[in-house]
Amino acid sequence: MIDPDNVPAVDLDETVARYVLASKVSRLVFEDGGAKPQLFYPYKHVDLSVNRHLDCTQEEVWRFGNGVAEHQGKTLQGRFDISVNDCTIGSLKVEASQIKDHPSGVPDNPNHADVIGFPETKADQKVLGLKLAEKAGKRIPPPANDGSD
Amino acid sequence: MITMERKFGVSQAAAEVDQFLQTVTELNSETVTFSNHSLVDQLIDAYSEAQLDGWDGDGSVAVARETLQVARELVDGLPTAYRTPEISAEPDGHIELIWRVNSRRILTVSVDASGLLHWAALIGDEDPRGTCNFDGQTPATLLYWLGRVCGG
Repeated sequence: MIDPDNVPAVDLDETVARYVLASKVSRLVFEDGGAKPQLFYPYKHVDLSVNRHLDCTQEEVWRFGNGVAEHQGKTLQGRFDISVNDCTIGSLKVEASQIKDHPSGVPDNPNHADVIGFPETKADQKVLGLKLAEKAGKRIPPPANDGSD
Repeated sequence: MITMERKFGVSQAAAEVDQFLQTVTELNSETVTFSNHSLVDQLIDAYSEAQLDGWDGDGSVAVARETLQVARELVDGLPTAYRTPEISAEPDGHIELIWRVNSRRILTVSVDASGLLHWAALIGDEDPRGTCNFDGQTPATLLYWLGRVCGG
């Protein structure tokens, strides 16, 4: 993982993961494995949490996802990988957002980042969600779990 | 058909559960006249999954009965050829309907409790979007884009 004391700025060549956290995978993933746009809508805030692959082993990528799932009481149903360059649509950009000593107990994560710059209106957010979902390709199921309903 | 024993209680939670069961009962009773039973099942699933605040983590909002009603009327009023959306709840309390041929021929509509429809589509290089009011009839704009997505 990234050195917590030296978190670099996000580069366009990096890849980030968007975790699928839901009781039923079908709420966020189409039957063919494609992402539903809802997975990429920002809610509550106008940003979207992702996890940088930089300096991470696969085991660490999944461990971060499991940590978030456990904290939120949800099931980790997989992840979608997307390049930072593909996230840079219109007003969107990706910024490092290390989690450390979070007041509500979210596990520390130097690889955490946010997609920021979402517009305020739902319709505009939905267009960006559609475009990000298209770029995200197919769901990667977690190890030892096919994620089926 | 979903059947559940109704129990009456005085707490808010009990009242919410009772309202949910009443809604499910009403939806079930309407499936005789509803042309696509699987859509009713999807609406019930979405509503039941999101019937309480916090259903999708901190800050997530329950789907209101009014939202469910608008979504049901919207779907029921669609031309038969377009009654193929995937339906799910959203963390902001909206119900989302998605029509998808592929990732570049897709339309999504979010229904809110006030009757507003927030929609967006990708059709090739086009990315139309907008918000319109649902007054009991499918807005012409949506019919146009549904035709573009679902048409041959």
